[in-house]
Amino acid sequence: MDELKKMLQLNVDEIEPEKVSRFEKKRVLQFVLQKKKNHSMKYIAASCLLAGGIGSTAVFLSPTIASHIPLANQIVEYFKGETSQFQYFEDYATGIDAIQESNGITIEIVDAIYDGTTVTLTFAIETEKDLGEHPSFDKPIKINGEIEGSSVTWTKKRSDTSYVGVITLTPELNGRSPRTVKLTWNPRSVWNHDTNENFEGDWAYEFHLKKIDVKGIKANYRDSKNGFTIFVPSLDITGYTINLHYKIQMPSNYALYNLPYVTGFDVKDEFGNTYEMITNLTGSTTKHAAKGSFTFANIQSGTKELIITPKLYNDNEEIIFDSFEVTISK
Amino acid sequence: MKDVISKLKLRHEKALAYVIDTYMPYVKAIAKQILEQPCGNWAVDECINDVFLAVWQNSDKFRGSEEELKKWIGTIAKYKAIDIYRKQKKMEVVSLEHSNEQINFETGELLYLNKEQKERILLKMQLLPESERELFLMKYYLDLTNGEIADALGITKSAVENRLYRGKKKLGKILSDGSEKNG
Repeated sequence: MDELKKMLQLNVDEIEPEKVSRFEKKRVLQFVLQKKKNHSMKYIAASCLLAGGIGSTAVFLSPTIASHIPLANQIVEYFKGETSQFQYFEDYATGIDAIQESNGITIEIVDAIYDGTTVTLTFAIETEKDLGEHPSFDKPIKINGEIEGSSVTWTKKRSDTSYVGVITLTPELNGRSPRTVKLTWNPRSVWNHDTNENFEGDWAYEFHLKKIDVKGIKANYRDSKNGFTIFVPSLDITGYTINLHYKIQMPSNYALYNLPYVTGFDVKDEFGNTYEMITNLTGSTTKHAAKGSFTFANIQSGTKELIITPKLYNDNEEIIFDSFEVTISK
Repeated sequence: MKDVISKLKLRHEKALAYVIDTYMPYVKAIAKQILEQPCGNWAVDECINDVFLAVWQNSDKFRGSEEELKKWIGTIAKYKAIDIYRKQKKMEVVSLEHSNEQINFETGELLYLNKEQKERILLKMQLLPESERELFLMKYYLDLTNGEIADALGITKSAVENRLYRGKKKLGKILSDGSEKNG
């Protein structure tokens, strides 16, 4: 009881803060955001759903506003200097062209790609209101009715009255890769991070996306280091992305929530090109095991082989696993 | 960051990052003090994760200022840490006086809480008067006996019983609707 009594008598107001590294904070942030039940993805737009009783949504536009909405290739052009993700985006994207206006803010879902693992959407916003450099929305997009997953969002102010953005989502598809996915989105406000202004509105979108052509390649990779085992059963290759599927088995003192490392994969080809990781998603399968996917931009370098090196790392150390090669074309 | 609480309630990830950045040193200190020696670092990490996940998922239950937010997070950390410690030490005591009782909010007879209700009282404890907060958390979140509570708070067992009796209706009301600010 003495030990417990001491704990119970701890006065939280008098405790001296401990040092916490950037890495530790990042790990907790990732843990919370990736936690299944309440995961909240970043915020995006999609296409029109003519839902009754939703309120003030109007689906027509003045010609002036419509003419300002950029074309798909114009949207990704804004981000090409920062990432290799969009090099072949236009070649595989499907036009969605769904526009909704509410409270003087027009949001268009311009086009999208579903590659069997991830969904990428481009969107544009047109408004006289100041939404700041990186506007965000209050509601996550749902894929097949669920919000679980991870996402990466790029947004940019294009002019005083227009904004462009791209979001890449990795939904939790429970190990499946359905031929189509249903996307729904119903944001109720847009937030200006810079001024903390919140602009309420009512937009509603719903549409389906078909999977683009995917080439599945077996890797059958397995390696163990320091008590960790990494498996890579296969890769899915499209003209737009490379999706690597993996599993990790951890020592019995670790689970996903207290894993002191970040998982990563270095992907190169025989010409020495490095492939950029776009997004990833990992979830626990059992207490000491997890599985997930890493998505890389396909730069279509004419390569025949990819050389992949799994690793576990943190600020202080790195565990490098054996590299393996995957033949992607003969 | 301005309006961190309202942004947290709106589920802005930046607000969560701010809360972790600001309060993790404090939460870590509490978790370490309670768990590091008896249970090890894994328990400290588990506690920190649990605290921020609870804060993120339940920010809508919080009422108060940023100063009170710190206190809220600190108290969640303390009680979650003690709960982890007790589970680890297999010291969980479900005393006989609890085992056969049913919850009856209408009459204010609140004798035993299930896991979900325990979690709810932990998250809504800032709605309780400060003088009763820790007493109720010890009783209903940690399931301590009145004797153990009396020892920890340095009061007599009959004083514990008396305060619990007086506070039961208030607690029942908080758990059944939670919208009313008490005390």
